[in-house]
Order: sequence, then structure tokens, then C-alpha cells
Amino acid sequence: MKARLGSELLIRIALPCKVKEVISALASEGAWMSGARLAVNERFANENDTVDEGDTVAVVPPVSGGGR
Amino acid sequence: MIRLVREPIDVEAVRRSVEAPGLGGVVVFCGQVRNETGSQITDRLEYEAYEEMALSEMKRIACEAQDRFRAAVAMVHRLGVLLPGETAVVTAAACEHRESAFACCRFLIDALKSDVPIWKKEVGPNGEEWV
Repeated sequence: MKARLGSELLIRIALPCKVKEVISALASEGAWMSGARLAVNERFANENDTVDEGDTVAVVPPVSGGGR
Repeated sequence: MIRLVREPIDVEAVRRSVEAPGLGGVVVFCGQVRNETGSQITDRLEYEAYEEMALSEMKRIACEAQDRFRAAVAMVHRLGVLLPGETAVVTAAACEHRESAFACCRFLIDALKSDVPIWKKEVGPNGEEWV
């Protein structure tokens, strides 16, 4: 994902908003993938959590996982 | 001991960090770099993390494990370029008895692999791929 999109992406969105709105905005920029999760202030967020000014938002693509 | 490191992991130091007089079972898991995945040859792996979040997730998992298994725990993950045979990750759990130590150590590595933002790129003769 980073190889394709780079490590930062600027989107415009009115704040405060819900995590799911951020995800839709990212998806419409082609910056989302199945299995990705959104982190707000370094914690995984639920889709109804709120994002406000000053929050750090990160797209976390599926992690390395591997076999079991 | 909860750490991200760029040098080889000292497995014995991780084990020692969970030892305590009342804890009779210590289980240590080492995740090694394989030289192949299916038919794909691996020359090296490159590990990368969202470091601040990786550390806070590792601490969260460690706290949960301590409470749930009444354990002393440690998790260390290496970042950067690793060659087959090298140790990428070590989790350790010490509990009063072995049954909970095994369960706790397994919980640590499973949670780490599903929730800690660390990614690896496999590099081999046919190119490279984030996995």
C-alpha cells in the first residue's frame, strides 16, 4: 500500500467526523484495502469513533501475520 | 521487556527478564526467518513498523496477558533486514505452572501477529513483495 500510495496522503474532511467517514474518504481516493484498519492516536479505532482536530490518524494495512 | 530492536535479539536476556522465584514454568517462542515460503525462495526479509503504535500495542497485549494468565511476559521484535535463520521475534511467558505459561506465550505471539503494526517484505530471486 505504501509502495503504491506513498507514506502520506492529504484528504479534506470536515471535523469532527466518524472513523467510518474517514475510511470512505480514503476509499474514494483509492487509499484503502480490504483488511486495513484505521488507527487514531496509535490505537485501533472502531468505525463509530470520532476523529477531531489534532488527532493522529493512520491507515494500518494488514500486518505481517504469516502462517500459524 | 517490550522492545523493537535493530540488532540480533539476545534470546537468553529475554528469557531472564521474565524469571521470578514464584514462577515455575517459562516458555519462550522464537520466530525465525524461513528460507522459503511454499515454492518461493527467500533471500532476505525486510521488517518495518509503525513504531510508536507497535510499542503501544505490544504494551497493551502484555498487560492483557499479565492479567489473564497471571504471568510475567516479554516481547521483542527485530526490524530491518534479516536473513534466513535469524530470529525476527521472541515472546516469553513465565507463570506459576507450565500449562498457563504455554497458553500465555501462544497468546502473545498470536496477538502480536494479528495486531502489532509490523510488516515484512520478502526479497528473493523473483523480486520482492510485501506480505
